[in-house]
Amino acid sequence: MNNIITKERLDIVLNGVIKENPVLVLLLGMCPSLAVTTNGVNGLGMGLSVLFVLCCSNVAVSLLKNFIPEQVRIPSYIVIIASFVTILGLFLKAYLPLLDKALGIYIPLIVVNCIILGRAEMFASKRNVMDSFMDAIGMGFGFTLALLIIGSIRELLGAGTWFGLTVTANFMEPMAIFMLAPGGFFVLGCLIAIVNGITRYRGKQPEKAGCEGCSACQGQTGEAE
Amino acid sequence: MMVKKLMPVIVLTVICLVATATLVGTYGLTKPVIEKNNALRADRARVEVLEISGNQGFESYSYDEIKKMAKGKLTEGTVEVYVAKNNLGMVITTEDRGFGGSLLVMTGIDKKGRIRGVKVLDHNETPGLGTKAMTKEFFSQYLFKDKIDNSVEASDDIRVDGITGATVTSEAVYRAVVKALTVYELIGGIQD
Repeated sequence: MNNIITKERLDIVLNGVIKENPVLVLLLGMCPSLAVTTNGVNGLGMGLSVLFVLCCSNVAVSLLKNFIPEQVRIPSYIVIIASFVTILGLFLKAYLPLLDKALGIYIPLIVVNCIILGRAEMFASKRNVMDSFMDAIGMGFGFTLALLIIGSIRELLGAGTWFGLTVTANFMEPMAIFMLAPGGFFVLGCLIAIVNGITRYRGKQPEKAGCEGCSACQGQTGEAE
Repeated sequence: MMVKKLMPVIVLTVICLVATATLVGTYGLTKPVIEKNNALRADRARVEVLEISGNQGFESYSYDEIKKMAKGKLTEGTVEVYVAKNNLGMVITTEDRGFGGSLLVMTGIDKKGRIRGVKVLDHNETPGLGTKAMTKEFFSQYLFKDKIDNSVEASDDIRVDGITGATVTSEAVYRAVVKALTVYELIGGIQD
């Protein structure tokens, strides 16, 4: 208990943000990623909403994992997730009505977001509370980051603004298509391609140890790795 | 044995009950704030389309009242009718079909029957195209007209223009405003 934040837990967080980014690598939660990311604020708002629900549900599922019988685990997870989503929805309506209006139906639809149910089933139901929380933080921030990037690009190209501030609108005609559904697909597709390109590039060039001063494979062809 | 079989049922029931209790609590906590927000937003919108109403607020007519005043000839698509408490005007919300479904339009009409403000409330129009027909600049052509008519035989001064790329939305707004003017007439304007 002395070390709550260990290297392993940091790895869990980083895993969710980068290596297994839910949107750009695992391709989960595509629907909100495309639908609400017409501008940066909406993307960020949606991402943080999912982060909140994910943290609560992962912790709750992890705490209850020994009490929930195998046969009813999925309905139990859904009830738990739906409760947190409804709580979030009510608080958004009360204290952030503008964001609530912008996100609309996609707030209640977080219930069926496969990232959340997926993490409950794959991670939180098998690991301890702290690990599950860290996983939720990682996955949640990964989702938020992806949505923020998509939203920013679409807002910048589609409206020439960023978080409502005019950036390029004065000297570049905004391309309205980026605010529409096709623009969402373009941006998401390009981002996935870039991420794939990076991971493949890095995967093809593993670190190599030099052949100098080593004679283990003398006389054989090929390179040391 | 029996207990083991019933365990899933019991656990799920308990989880549902706890969840319900939590939601009841949250709902009770947020309900007054949400209601206050909605009332505030609606009032602000009404002041926006009818600035002469000042800060004295509005009084709503119930649907039955409007129906009675209009002698049963109420136009379809009438949503709300509010009268300014200082009796200088009326705010009428009407509905029509836009490009992406229902479109709610709020029209402020003064004592002389002239349009003083138009605002689109709820809509599902295409961002960047349909939304072009919702700007203040676009609505300025409606201001101070007591009659609008886009039919072929109508004269130019009571016509309103549409916007290229937002034809359907412009027409929906036009029809909704026409409805508001009709409702105003059916009710018989502002009574002192």
